[in-house]
Amino acid sequence: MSDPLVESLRMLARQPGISPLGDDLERAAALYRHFDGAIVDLRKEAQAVLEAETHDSSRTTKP
Amino acid sequence: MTSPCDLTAAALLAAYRARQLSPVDVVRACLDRAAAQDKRLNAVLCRAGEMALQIAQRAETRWKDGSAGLLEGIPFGLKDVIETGDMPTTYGTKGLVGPRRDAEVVRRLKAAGAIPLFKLQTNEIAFGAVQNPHNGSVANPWNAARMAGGSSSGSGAAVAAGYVPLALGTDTGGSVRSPSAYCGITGLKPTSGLLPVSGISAVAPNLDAVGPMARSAEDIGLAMAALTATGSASGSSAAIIRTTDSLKGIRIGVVEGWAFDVLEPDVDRLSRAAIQDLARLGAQVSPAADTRLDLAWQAGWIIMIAESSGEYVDHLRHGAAVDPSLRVRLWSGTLISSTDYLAARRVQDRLVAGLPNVFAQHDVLVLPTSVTAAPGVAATAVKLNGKEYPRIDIATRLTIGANVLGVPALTLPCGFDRDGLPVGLQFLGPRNGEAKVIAVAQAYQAATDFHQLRPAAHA
Repeated sequence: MSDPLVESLRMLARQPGISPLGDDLERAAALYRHFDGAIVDLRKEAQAVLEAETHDSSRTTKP
Repeated sequence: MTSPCDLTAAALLAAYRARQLSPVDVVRACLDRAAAQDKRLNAVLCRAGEMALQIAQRAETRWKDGSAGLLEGIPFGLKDVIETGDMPTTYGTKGLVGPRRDAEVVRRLKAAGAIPLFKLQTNEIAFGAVQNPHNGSVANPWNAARMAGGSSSGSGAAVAAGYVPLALGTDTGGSVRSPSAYCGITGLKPTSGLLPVSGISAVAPNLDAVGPMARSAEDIGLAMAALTATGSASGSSAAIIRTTDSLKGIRIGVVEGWAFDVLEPDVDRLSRAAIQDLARLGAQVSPAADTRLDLAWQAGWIIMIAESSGEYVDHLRHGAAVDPSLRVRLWSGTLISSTDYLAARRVQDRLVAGLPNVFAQHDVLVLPTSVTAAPGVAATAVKLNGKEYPRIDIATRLTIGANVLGVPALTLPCGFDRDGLPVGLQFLGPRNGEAKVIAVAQAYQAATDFHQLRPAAHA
């Protein structure tokens, strides 16, 4: 089965003049996954920040 | 007799003032030192040569007629991502050539009388691997089998080896501080936005800073006085940062936890000993308020990799001419979604909002600069306490937090490990608190001599 991250990268690689070399895309997907945990943590922290801001009536809310 | 190459900028200025040395002799000595050492170190990409000697002659005249600027006759080096009118800029890569005009920081140093002497090595576009595929690796002056650090590798090696007393580097996640620590010199990443980055290639604009690298905190203060002078005059009227010999009453917060969890044993031992020395010098040392540098590291990586990819994805058109690890980072950055990038920025905003509370309790924070002393030139992983850590996990672990928070961060040498390699200690201050971190660093250096030790010269 193909790796969805690598497939996403292949879409970008269709831009004229930009060609992946060797196993660049597989390694890029692996690097992204290496920081998976950090991304999940940041999403949680950012959500907590947003929730705190929602309770702060002094802030302008989004439409 | 001490070679002029081994003097600090402050000592050179004193010698010029006393007519004991001339800028022409010093520039010649620096060129000779680099010629003798650089086959081994590989730090220099371009030298100013004759032109620098002509500028040095004019500097000599100014010392004679009393019109010398703040840094009159001080030679300096520049990382090859900082544009210059007199020397080419290649950003450590192929396919990019910079405009022939001075970056604003270069203009300010020249206005203060400093003499640009060398363009110095960098990781490719300041974001690739420390082994530059086009120009080769820079060797550490303390041990040529070890890396000089990155990405301001040439600046770190050139200052440590005595090619110049002062160099400029850039720092997105630690690129001034890591080579400064590995090479045993003093380096400052200033407050975000304090120094102009016009004429300097970006890596991640949200985190980027340009900063001085030198052999003492006093010289960092001198350089900052010139770099923050905005007028076109000599800069001699700029306020020199006043320093103190005592730390009495200074509140220093030790960043425990994250900063000490993963460390080479010698780095841990030397850092803790230095912190005890700070207490002996009168500082009130206590555990730091929660700075969440762990979260800052996570946010920093996401911001850095996403923004650098945005800046340079077109560079992938150069294909095989680009460092493979840089290609992988650029590709990887394109996978960061806009929502995840914004999550990282939101977390950054929250951490920055907490800074006034942290610095209400401490004047400065202290932590090690890097997890290890300089690793082997080709090291991709480091083994600590039986566990292997990829370089990518530890290279910015203790440094990128200051970029995310936008605060000044200064590193200085605090000892040497069992292999004779320097170890760095880092001070973080509040935004625009450069004077505080420089004053603390100068007080520490007044009581220690690690910054005065020089690597053995090899012909």
